[in-house]
Amino acid sequence: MKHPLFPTLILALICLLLTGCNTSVEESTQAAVAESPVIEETVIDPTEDLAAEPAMDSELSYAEEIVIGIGRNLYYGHTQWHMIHGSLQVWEPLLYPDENLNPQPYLAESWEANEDLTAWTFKLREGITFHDGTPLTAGVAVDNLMGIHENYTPLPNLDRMVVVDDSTFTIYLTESTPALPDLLVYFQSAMLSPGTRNQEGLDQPVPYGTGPFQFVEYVDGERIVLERNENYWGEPPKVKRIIYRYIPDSITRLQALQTGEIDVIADVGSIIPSQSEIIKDDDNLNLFTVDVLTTHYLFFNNDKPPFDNQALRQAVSLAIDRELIVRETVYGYGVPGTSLITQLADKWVNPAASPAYDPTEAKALAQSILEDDRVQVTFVLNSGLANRWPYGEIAQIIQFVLVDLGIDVEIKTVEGGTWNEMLANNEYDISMRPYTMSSGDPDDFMTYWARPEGIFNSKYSISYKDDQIETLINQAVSEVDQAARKAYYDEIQAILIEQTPFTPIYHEVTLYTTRDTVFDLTLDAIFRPSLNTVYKIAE
Amino acid sequence: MKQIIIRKIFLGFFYLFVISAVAFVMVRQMPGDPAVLIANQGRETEAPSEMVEQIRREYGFDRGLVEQYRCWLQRVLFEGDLGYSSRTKRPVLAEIQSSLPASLRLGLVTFSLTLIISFPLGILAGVTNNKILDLCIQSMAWINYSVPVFLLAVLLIWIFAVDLQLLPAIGHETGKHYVLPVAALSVHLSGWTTQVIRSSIREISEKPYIKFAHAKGLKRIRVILIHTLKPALLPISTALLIQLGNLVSGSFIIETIFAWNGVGRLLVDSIMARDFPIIQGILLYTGVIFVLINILIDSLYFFLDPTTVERLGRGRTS
Repeated sequence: MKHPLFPTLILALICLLLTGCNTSVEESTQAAVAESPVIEETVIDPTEDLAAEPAMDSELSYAEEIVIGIGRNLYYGHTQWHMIHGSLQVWEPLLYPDENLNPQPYLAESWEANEDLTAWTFKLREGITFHDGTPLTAGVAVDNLMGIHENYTPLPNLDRMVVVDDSTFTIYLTESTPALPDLLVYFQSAMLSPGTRNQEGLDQPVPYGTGPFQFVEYVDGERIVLERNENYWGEPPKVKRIIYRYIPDSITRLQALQTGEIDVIADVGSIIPSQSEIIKDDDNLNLFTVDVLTTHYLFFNNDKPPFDNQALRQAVSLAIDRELIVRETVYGYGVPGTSLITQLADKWVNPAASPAYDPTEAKALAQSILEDDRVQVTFVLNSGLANRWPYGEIAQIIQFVLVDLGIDVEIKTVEGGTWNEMLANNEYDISMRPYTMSSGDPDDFMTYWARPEGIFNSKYSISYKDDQIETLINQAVSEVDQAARKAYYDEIQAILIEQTPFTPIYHEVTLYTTRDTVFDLTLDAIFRPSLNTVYKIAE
Repeated sequence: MKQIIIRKIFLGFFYLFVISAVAFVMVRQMPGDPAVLIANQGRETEAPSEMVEQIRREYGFDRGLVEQYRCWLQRVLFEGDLGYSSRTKRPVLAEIQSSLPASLRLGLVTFSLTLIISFPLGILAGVTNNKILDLCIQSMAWINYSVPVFLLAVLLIWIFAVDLQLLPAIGHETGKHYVLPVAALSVHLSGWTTQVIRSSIREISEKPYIKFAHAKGLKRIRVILIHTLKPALLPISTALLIQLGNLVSGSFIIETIFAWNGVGRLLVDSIMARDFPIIQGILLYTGVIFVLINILIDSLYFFLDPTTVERLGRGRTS
């Protein structure tokens, strides 16, 4: 082993091999899409009743600092338009959804549209300044929206944006866009000071927002430090300092909470369902859950035998017991996928369009196509996703049930980059991924999955194309009447469930946990922790 | 001897050249288009193809592999520029520098503790050949080395941090933070090094001159420390210094479990993100470490066994 070449070459070889078992930036970016929004909170096992918790009391000693453990880096620096994740509340949006997913005023005080919904005028709250002292004006808001449009998510039908006065601006669209406010919530209308963009030379630029917390420090790969904005326009936060501590390993993360080194774990995927029993058994910890807007989908390669056959896709969907999957793989922390889009967007869900479980019918259907032949299919899993969700176990359950249908499934788990490449190159038959309908509007889902040019539809070679569906989606997105719009989406859902180019498996429920000295922490409709209400009693 | 060292240094540069070239080719063989990955970074929708093409041109991915390597080597040699991370947009050198201290500290402290544990145990086992003490030490060493380091780390955290609440589980701010990761790594590594030391001591102990020394009536401690240990140090130091190289190159598992921001974690994160400039930079850093260690090992050989110089000298002239 004297030769210096060998260890390094071996290391290089390991690097190459690792590509077969890890994820990629592309995947993590996509996973981030599936990561934010959440709605509705339920306390599973509170050792303290939230209603009976001590209110802020002058006799008690309150901690100045709360440490939140996270499993992913939430500071993006120059790599993403927003620079820092919205959960940290350094920046704030113009609009924010309520618990029914309806957009509500935030930095925008009000908005109105012309009759044909092609011009939307927004009025900003007055007297709001960024952390660097710059006032929030209509000009700044328009610059931010254009930046997001160009660098993050394009706004559909956008013609131009015009500043009317210091606090008013208008968005002109080429077609009626009734869902525009829905498309402008949270990340889509994040407001950052112009000073944020003038830090090209800095390794770690400071995001100057208007939020209750201002950015103080980012220690690479370790922590983000935030401090209370003493000039905040809304209700001031109770805690002075919040530290987001990056702990990549989920076991250590929970152990750090048990030792009291961190106070809270509150991020999607930060607690895995199998850890729930440990948390319940620990008297010092409280466990909570939130139903999130994320749904996990099984999708087929619709362009390639055998799943170019609609009946065989239907047979697979019918053979899947979604309740069993939720019970056995996520310990009940999920909702069986009985609706094509997230069950939380209930105003858009068509209850009649629900994938059924009928193994007898599935077998008969498969038999009618395959007769006595057997087919071999490849189920390709992304290891990055399979590390965060029990995709491996789900694939094994599906593999088991499909044997009866005459379908032999080979499961391949590959790293994110390879997964993307295999899907793009048609080298798969079935796969899975999560998707978060973050705007709450079904056009969101349809654009990504059902349109022929939709990112997932084209990029993953799902290759689904149906002229009727395309027409219906186009009619729905421009339909002004809400009832008529709902009718379009009902029809679209019914067709998609019938044709089964993809099928929902389960809707996500995310767990989060706090030490029993921490109070008033909730997660809202878009998985934002209530940093302005949370407080901690000094131990 | 000076000439031999100079020759080794030149050879070292040659090795680095080969390592960097092979690493460059291998890294570029990874699946996934780096231009697409960079373009899509931070976006919710797929980047337009013009943007991907622009990035491909900007980063030079549109050129041939040889041309890409030539440009990279030219920048490294003449400007000392390892490029920019495609993930964080920061200079590669700054990225490595910010992770290096944690890995170096962890590696050096672990290495020191490993020496402290394994030298006495290895020597004791070696000189008490096949007696109860030897068997006990050997069994312990095998157990230490056989238990996976991640399991050991999680167990230590569970006992000393969660249950007894004596030590912190994460971070590296104070001396206390070093105890658990260093213990996990040292216990694991010392299992192997104890065996290496024991075998080397055993081998030398069987030599006739050692038996002669004992027969001559020299004190046992003198025979062990002077006549046995010194020649045994040659294979021991080779094995230990290679372990040192591995340690200061970063330990991904321990760095991940204890939330240390070290080179090992940076490398794996970069592989996942297809951050080619960082991967290339870390592989070069690792190459430098091993070339230096190789020179150090050779120097030690000359110091511990001067006949090496003679042998090498004769070999060259013959």
